[in-house]
Amino acid sequence: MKKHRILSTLFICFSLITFFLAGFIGFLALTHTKGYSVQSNSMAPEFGAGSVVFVRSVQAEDLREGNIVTVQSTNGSMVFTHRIARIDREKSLVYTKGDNNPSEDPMPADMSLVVGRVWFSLPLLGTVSAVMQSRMFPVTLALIAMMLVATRFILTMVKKHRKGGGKDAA
Amino acid sequence: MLRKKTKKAFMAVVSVIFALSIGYFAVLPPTSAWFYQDLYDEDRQFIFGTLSLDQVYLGTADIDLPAATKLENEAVFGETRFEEALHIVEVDATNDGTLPARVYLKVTAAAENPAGLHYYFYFDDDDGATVKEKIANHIAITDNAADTYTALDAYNIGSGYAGGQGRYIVVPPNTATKILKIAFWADYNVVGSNLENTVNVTDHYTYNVNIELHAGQNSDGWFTR
Repeated sequence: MKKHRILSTLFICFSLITFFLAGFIGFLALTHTKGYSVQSNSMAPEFGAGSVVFVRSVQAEDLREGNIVTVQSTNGSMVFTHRIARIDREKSLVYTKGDNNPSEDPMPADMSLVVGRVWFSLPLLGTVSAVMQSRMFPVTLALIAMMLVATRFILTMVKKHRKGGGKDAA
Repeated sequence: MLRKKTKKAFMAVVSVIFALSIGYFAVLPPTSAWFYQDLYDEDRQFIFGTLSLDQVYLGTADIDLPAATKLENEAVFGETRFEEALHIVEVDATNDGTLPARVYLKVTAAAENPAGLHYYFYFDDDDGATVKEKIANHIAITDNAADTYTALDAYNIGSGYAGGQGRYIVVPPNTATKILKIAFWADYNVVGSNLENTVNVTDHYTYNVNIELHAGQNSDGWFTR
């Protein structure tokens, strides 16, 4: 009975977490917010490696010095997220710098490459993607699966042995 | 029975939603922080990669100097034992990333130190067979010690748009460990009368310093792949 209660409580917590996560993702979709997993500490202490930044699109005329923006490469394959150090509106360029970097980034970016402005960030969430995208993850997953199968097998054998022992005693 | 089936179905649905939610965060695209400008590329593309360099902070180091020396024009003053009076600290820097990195050096006093300590940041492949020759390739070693040390201090502080960040050395990517060196010495003109390297050593100077090495992206513009 106690075991049943514990399991029920655990399941309720699990369900609540799941619905909270799903609701959060739905909120991001409704607000057209994109998430990016932060790979380094170039913007520490604002946010560090392992965080996730959530970015909303912004019009070029709304960009301001001090905004933290996500900029994509010209072919769109990669992005970086740094703070705007200065803006050249005549040439439509933004000069960016990581808060934790000693100097501005090597080259300015055209405003058309700005994906959006960082709305908020959450620590630690980025570790999920870092772990799951790492090369060791499939191997780790396979090892855990094997351990679970082995554990279940051992427990089944122990249970069978106990039942058989009970019959012998009778 | 029906309640049990409903419960199982609900558990299955919750599990699927949980897996999908984790999956959303698992496939988030990365925002990289490191890139440089490829001057060989006429389109001036961003080249992205990973920057990985052990950030080494040595903490407090004891610079043990039993002798003082002079960084002066050898022909005029005859100081021939500059190299022997150096205390050299070595730091290994390994860049596992795919982009070149700068390693900035900053040396500050960790305690109330005697005067006269100077340093020079270099690595073995710097031009010059000796430390003094390496220094001479970057600053003028004149007959005037004050002018020489002013130039050395300015060199250590750095120049250009990253000025004030300290001297830096570029560590290329995907290379074996680069050994960075910091040569320390005490200026004879300041402490020479109190510091003697003889069998009757009566004084022995130890300077306590903080050595901080900070890795950053290289923005000199190009490197040969």
